Amino acid sequence: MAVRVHLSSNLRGPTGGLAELEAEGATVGALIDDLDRRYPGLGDALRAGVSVVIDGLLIAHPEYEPLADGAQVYFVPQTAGGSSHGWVCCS
Amino acid sequence: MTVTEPKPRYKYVGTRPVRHDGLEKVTGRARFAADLNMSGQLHGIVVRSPHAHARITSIDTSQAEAMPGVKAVITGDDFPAVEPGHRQYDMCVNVIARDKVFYEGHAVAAVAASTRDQAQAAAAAVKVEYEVLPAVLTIDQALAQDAPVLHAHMMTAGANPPAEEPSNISNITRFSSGTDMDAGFAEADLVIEREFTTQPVHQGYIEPHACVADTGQDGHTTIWCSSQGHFNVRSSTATLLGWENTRIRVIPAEIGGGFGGKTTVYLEPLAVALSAKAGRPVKMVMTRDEVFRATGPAPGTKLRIKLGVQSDGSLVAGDAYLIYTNGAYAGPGGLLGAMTVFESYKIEHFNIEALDVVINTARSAAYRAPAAPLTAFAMETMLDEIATELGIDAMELRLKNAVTEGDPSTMGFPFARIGFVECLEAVRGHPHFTAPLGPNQGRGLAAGYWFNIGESSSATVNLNEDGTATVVTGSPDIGGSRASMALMAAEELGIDPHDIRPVVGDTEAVGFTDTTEGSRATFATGMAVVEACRKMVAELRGRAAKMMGADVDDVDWVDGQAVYTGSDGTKDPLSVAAICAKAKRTGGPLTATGSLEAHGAGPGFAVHLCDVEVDQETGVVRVVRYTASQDAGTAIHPSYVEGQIQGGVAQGVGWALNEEYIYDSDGVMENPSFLDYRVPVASDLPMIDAIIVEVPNPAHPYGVRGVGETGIVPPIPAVANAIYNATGCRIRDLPMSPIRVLEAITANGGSNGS
Repeated sequence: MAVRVHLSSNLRGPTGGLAELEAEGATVGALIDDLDRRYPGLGDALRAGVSVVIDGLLIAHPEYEPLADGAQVYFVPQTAGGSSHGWVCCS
Repeated sequence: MTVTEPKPRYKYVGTRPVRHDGLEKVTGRARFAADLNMSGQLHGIVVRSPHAHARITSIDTSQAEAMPGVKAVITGDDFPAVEPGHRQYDMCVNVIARDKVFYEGHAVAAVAASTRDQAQAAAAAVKVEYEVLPAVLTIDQALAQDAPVLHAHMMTAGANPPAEEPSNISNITRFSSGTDMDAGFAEADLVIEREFTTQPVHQGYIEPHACVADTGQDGHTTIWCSSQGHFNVRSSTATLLGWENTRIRVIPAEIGGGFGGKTTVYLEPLAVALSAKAGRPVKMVMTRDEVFRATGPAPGTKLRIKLGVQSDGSLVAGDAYLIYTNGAYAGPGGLLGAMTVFESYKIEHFNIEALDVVINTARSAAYRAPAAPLTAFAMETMLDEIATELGIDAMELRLKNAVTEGDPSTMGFPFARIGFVECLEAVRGHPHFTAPLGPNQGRGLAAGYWFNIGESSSATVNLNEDGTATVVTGSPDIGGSRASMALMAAEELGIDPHDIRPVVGDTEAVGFTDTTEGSRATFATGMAVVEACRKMVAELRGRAAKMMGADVDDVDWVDGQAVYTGSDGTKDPLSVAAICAKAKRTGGPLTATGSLEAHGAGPGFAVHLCDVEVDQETGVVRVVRYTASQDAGTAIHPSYVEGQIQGGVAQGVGWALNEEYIYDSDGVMENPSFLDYRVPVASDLPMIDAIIVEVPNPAHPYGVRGVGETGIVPPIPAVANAIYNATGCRIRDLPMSPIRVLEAITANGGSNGS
């Protein structure tokens, strides 16, 4: 599946600052593998505490999330509990 | 209530039944962790460091162990070694220090004895030798070139180029629009740059941390405790002890407030270790002094923000430099500040750099919408200043720049349906907005944003023989979630909410459920309840079809009844009770479960309007009127949505006006009691008028957004803006205590600058 990837600005180091790019993957995990092949080091960054927004839906643990052809995938810092960031949020 | 979009007509969702646990709580029958006592129970006391930063050179427990009634003494040596790089290293060494202590109050040992007095005496007899190290107590000290480095392993994450030497900066976060910032500011007609400072504050929950642990001879233990997540208590305790999760069962007690501060562990692993060593149950209850000294405050900050705006009020550029202290260990304050500072407004050119810094104070913990109230303090007071400077109404300025559906967030993704503009308009349409002010009074407007999260939840629905239901979830009820679970189940099943018993199940009674944090309980656990109920309805239709002698496809579920829709004559509808009564003959007990990872948590926005009256001679600020709107998506139980909004306001007002940790020059907290750490009480606040805005979250079956946190984001700037309008003084340092307000009035030449 060819998808459009958008990286939040803190994740663009391995891409040399590129914010948007095309990549492929049937799942988010496969997409990350593909991104890592294209931009070595990006895979580690995306596997360490990153969530995705796919077509408007925030997904905290997206590794096996299926992707449709043409999907818009936004990688963003994880705000979910249990992340490597320690404490998060509360009510 | 303001309803902004058409929504389905619900029978039970949106009603206000008396909460199921209400009677027990108002009559004192509800059992909190400190209410539990067991036969043969010992009392545990923690030995705490008197120093803010020191190396432990020796611990001698022999004298304490020989004292009357003492059954066990433990130190860090009683736990498996843990090294930096371990996933929960910070938690492990925070619960009990190993070679170093990092703040005054850090646990170094614990004692269990037959009575609390005996345990206290023995704790005082534990001899700990320290090599006292210079303490780092402020951001400036932490960042100084010659600053003592707290953690030799702390290499700054996110540093570019990568850090080569350890420092007190745990993390650097950068976000930017990727555009030319100079060109952005060049587009502006007005550029202002301001600095702000804030102090650590405590969550201030009324119930101190407490637990009882009972370890049997089989090596299995049961913990009773109040927490925001008993599955997390289980896994954290197991990690610290080096045990398998299955050796630990955690039974949730009622919780007397958490607000994020009970999302981690402090006592539970110590109680288990003491119980295992003594072979007896061990009860531990913190004093208020311990709660202040040793449990997580919200971070203090230094913030510097520069904004560029065109003469018509359009924001065009924003530059933020944020420093958060997370206490003695790494934390995400700066990250979350960076993710919230510009999130509410359309700003084409932005650059954000945020530092997380460690200092020798207690490890910070989550506190309602962590970090966001402080960035809102800065942004929303600066927006007010811009409005004044440009002669634009403060509300119109926000409406002009507010993000709406499709606008990009700071992190790049486009917002889905959100209700920020609706919240602004709800306040603008409220009578408070145009009400006259009295002498020495001022009015402040401010907005706030918080993400909310999903995560994992489980629920089980059991139908009883009489047609009533039990709904078991794994989410501790810290804000009325039992009632919301019952209401969603009632809507799905067609059963009266009071015929449903909502229960918080222990770690062996219900599927894994993440901690109640991120305003997720009604959103995510509610989704699990709905999923379980929908499975149950499918089962009920099948059972009813058997009883009717019909095809299941010819049986619908309508208003709590199985209704025959086929063409083979007429058949009487069957109620839940009728189906339950024959469950043994149609397939056995009626049970359904729902377990899921909830996707699509919807962001929450809030807009607050605050009137204050300032005593020009003393600097005392009194909040005289307060109105707060918030997008709840759909309010499942409006009373508890209002309660969450009002609670957030109360805590935010305390944060604005009075609350702060005060340390002496050695890093010893000087105000660890509610006498000296001033939280608002009922008599300090007016009735808080809560306006529930309902812009449904499309990802939730009932449109729910989390509501537990956003309400604490706007109060600080709302109060600050009101003080400005009452006095002409802009105060950019928290708290805005009487002394600080009086100094500002005096420096400004008296009342209203006159």
